Amino acid sequence: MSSPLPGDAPLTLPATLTIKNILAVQELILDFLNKNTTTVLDIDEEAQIDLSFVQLVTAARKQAEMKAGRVLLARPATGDLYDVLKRGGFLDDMTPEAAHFWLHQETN
Amino acid sequence: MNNPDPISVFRTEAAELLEQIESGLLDLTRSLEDRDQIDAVFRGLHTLKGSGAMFGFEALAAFTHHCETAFDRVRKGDVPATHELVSAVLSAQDHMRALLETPNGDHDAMSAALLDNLHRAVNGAGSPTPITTVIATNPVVEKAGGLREWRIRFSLPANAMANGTNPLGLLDEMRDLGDCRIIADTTKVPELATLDPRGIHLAWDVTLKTEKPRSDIEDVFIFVMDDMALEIMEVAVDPPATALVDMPVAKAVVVTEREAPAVQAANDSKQAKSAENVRVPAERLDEMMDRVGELVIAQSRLTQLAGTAADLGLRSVSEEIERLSGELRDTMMVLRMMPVASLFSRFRRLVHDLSRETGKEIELITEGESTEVDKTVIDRLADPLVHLVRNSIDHGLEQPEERLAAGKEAKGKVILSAHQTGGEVIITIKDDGRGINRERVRAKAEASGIIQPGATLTDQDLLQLIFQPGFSTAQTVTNLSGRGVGMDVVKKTVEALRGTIDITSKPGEGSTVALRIPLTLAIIEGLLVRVGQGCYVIPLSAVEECLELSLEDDLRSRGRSFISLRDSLVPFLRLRELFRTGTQPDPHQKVVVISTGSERVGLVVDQIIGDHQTVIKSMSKLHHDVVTFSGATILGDGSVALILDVTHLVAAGQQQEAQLRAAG
Repeated sequence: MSSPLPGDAPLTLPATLTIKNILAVQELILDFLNKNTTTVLDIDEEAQIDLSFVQLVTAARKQAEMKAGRVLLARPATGDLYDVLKRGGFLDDMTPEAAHFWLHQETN
Repeated sequence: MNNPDPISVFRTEAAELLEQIESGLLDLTRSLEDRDQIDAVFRGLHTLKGSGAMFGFEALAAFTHHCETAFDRVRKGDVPATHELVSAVLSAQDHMRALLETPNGDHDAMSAALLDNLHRAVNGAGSPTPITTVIATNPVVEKAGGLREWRIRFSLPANAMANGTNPLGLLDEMRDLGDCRIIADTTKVPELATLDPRGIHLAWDVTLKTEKPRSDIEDVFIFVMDDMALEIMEVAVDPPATALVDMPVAKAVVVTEREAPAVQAANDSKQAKSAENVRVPAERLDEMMDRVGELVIAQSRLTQLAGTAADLGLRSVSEEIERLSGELRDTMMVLRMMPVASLFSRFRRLVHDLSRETGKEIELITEGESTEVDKTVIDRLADPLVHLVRNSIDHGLEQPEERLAAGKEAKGKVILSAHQTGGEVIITIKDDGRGINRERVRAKAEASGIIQPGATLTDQDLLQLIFQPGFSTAQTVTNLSGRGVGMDVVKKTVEALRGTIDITSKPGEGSTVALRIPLTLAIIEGLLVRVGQGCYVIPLSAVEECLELSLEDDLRSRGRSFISLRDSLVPFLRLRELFRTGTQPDPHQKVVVISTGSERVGLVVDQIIGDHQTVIKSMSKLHHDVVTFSGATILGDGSVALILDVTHLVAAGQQQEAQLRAAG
């Protein structure tokens, strides 16, 4: 587990990350993942997010693990993203790894 | 990635939802207290509203919301379902189609009028009914009181989000029921490259402590229940002393735990069933049919080449390809077949509306709905059938008092049926009304100049006059029929499908119109024959048998054109003469006996070449009025053979025969 480093490539995502444009977001992240070992997702704090995006990020993490890469968040989840995680049942009984990924919480 | 346009997908699914809603509403008219139908209509409206909003059809979503609210009140027992309410929602449902088709159109005035109608129907639906009368359908688990703990595991239908369901909303509803711990299960989420991001691959495990009954938990999922996987297990009850006294609750625990695997199995079965179906755009099927047609033509060419070659290996391959292309053709035909149920279902609504408009009591009976026909037939027959059903109701069925006076039931019957016979499907529209008034038909035809005054006509010819352009016996023009348009279009449409119309009618007992349509429209089995220098195809489905016509028989039959076939006389036509080939007859002519409806006719040809898989190509517009041929096909050597339209051919032959006789 690690946090984004200054040299890690960030991928700035659009302000809408919902089912309406989730196909485009998938292609965007997939393309970036294929070109980079580390993918840092830069999500606007004001971004509009729904469950499809959280599922997409989960899938992206699995994809990265397959090729020994990694996906990180540029900053801990806030705003809509935090709300979706909470309402979607991702924060109850969170594993340390998940807590580190989504909330940047240290695991000790 | 080749993904279909989501708006287009939404429109298709919304149209299906509207059909389901309409079907549910029409079922409700027969049984207003049918809880399953009330729930089904409510779920349909809810899904339509949610998905409409998601895909930007705001006006549709907002309008549907009112109908959903009305049905929510029915569902909760606040208001009863009434015929007025159902009719109001049926009318509203038509408007929803308009909102779906032209979302940016000017619909405000119509929306307002329909909502006004809806509100009147809801408000006039009588005094509120206690909610308990509806909820009491689940008595065992309704007993509330005492905190209970439930383990709930569920996954939603893959297309739930795309259909407008917000899973977070469901989870929020779950939290509203009590102390709730929700854990998302991500184990089935695939890697990004293989993820369908619009589908849901998550599942949830929920621990819920609540005093609410199990039915409240199930209610959370009411809109998605049909296709989801849901397990609800009670893991603890109140302290033992209470449980011992409260036997119904203890019993509920046992039932619930036994139910779980069964529910899961049922859900698995539903999911497996839905996974068996793939939605394919119709035009892709058409494209594939064209390719199969080209393959059949190429295979025919190969067979011909192989037949003249000495290479046994080539012959073997040719036979194998012939078999495979035949199987592919048969498979393709099946793919294009659809049950006529999809055609018949729309008439329930039509009859419901016409019954209200005319004040006639009508019962629509449908039979043979599982009969399958080519999808093109389904598409093209819809409008003609509407005309025929409208005519049956408007002209055929009497008003209730007139029926009672005639000793009939007040409620008239319209029977719509389909069945397959040989290579044809026969669709019949039958009513038990007053029957066709032949005197009026004759008078009208004479007045319109369609027939000469006093002309001699068979009964069938007289009845067929109603299909003449501009013909109508209606004394007044109504909204339903009687404008003199339609019946001739019906006939033209059926003939364009290579079909025929038979009509029978008994005064005071009713009329029957039978449409005989070939099962397939693209490729047929044909009998390839030679007449003079040309090759022709006779549809094999019409062929009964083939005979040799010896020179002696031919000479003996001249002047009367009949052959004796097992003690019955069968008329025959010499195609060589009919087509004016200008050639001498073959010394070994053959007679192909064909059947057209109730008639048997022999067609004299010079040679029977053999059976032939016939890919039907349309005639050019220049030949549009040549009715004796239904199309053309390309033979293995690249030449063209015309396909005989046996019905028209026989009619033309009979006409020619009559002219010859008249000429003496």
